[in-house]
Amino acid sequence: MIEVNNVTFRYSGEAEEGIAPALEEVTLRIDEGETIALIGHNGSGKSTLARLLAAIVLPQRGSVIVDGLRTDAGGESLWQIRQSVGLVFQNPDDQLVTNTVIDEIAFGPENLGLPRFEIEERVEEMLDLLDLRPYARHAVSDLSQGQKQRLAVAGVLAMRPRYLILDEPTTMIPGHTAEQLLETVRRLARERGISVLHITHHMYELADFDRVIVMNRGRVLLDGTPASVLRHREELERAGLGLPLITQLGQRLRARGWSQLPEVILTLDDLKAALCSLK
Amino acid sequence: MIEISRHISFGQYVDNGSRLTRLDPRAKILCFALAVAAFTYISQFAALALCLFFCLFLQWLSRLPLRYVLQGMRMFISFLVILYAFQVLFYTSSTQATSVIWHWGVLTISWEGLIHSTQVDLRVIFLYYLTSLLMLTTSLVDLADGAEALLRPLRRLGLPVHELVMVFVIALKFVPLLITEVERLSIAQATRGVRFGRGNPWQRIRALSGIIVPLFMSGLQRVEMLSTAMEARCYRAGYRGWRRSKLHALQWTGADSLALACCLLLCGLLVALNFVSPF
Repeated sequence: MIEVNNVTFRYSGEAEEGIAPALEEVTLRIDEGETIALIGHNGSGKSTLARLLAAIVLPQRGSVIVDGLRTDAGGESLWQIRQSVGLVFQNPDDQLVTNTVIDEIAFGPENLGLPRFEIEERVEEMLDLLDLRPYARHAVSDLSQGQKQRLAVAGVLAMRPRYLILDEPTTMIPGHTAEQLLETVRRLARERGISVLHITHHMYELADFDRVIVMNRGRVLLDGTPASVLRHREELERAGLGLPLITQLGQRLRARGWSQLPEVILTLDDLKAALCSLK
Repeated sequence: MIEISRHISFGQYVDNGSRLTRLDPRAKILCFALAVAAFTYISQFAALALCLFFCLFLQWLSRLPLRYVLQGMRMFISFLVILYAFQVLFYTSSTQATSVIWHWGVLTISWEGLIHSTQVDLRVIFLYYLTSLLMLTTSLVDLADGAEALLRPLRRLGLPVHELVMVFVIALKFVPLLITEVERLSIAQATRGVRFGRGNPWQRIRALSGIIVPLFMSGLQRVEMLSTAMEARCYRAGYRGWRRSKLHALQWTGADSLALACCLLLCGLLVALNFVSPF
């Protein structure tokens, strides 16, 4: 379990310039096996929260506790937290360290000092899980952006984290590739009990997650199931977020007299099912 | 300017399972160092001809398409041609006994200038080829492991060998990334009407500054992101008691000893040929 208790974080130099903190009095809890979508406008504090959870930056006020270990405790616990919390960044080119697929997957396990046979086992496992086997001997520079992003996820998962944070991984890849990547991650989360925190600004990606957290100006604005969050249309719009198109369509149909339709429709399949059930 | 990456293969790695790729990185680095020393020492055309045969033999061993390697050297050779012109025109002999072909003001073309500049530039081309080939046939991780193993004795002097090698390897990794970045910035500037290679020297410098300044900024950002990503994956260089394990064990075989012996023999031949050859 990850606990974020009343955390405030400000980047250095921002206080002198009178800029508001990146995060202000944020409190939340992430349970094991949960899949969460974290959404917010640019500058809402999403990526800062991700870095705090992965102990890349430390809170100036409050605490972040990962499986009972405080991120600001220092020493060996810092590295235990970084092993438990895997972080995938927006641009795969920024995080791929080596220049071959196999070496990249092995980089994390090598840092953990694992024996060679175990590194080999994890590399083999990740090649299959992320469909990277056909590219195993390829240079990283020969991969497409979507393949690179899969490789970045494989490199992090090879460290067997309990929590996986994806910081806008779908921004730089085409729609269908992004959907495949998210589906793979959700499947892995189900099968292995990994908690997933997917940071995004695409509202249509929320539907398949257990929980949605909306951030605005460094604070948690809404926190709940996708359906319960999307009921707060006005608050979302004030935070610069529009409802997904399919939800808007459902609400327009309701406004035109189709009042039996549910208030919040999340997917096209939900809309079809709702329309078919009407008499 | 815009299609730069097609004309530079420096820093790329091609795993085609060739004999050169399979050699132990320590053997490759040692052979490379020996060849660089010998190529730098020689100056006679007969020895340079032997260098050419050696490079052709390496090309055959590498099983890389010759066209791919040559295309990767195109931009470097174009740059060298400009340098060659300057070398020839401003050549000053130490003996004063030059046979002048053409003379105008401070510009002179002499037989000695032509011969000397050709010898120097041929050596530079061969050295560039050797460096490119080392990187085309050795992955970054192998290169780092090999260099670290060879430099291990320096650790006794208190030198942070692992960290120094990692810095060097990451600098190499950034070469293709920065080339892509230059390409991206060139396209962005060209679409705004900036014309490279036109106008007077001052206008050309101004056009280039539109690339160099953002390139520098994005390079710094990328370095920061990469170091964050490495730390997030438990890379903790400089921490006492941290030991990385390795996926690939370095294995010195008979082929490596043979390669080193052949390289030593060739270097001896080159030096002897350079000594006895009249031209």
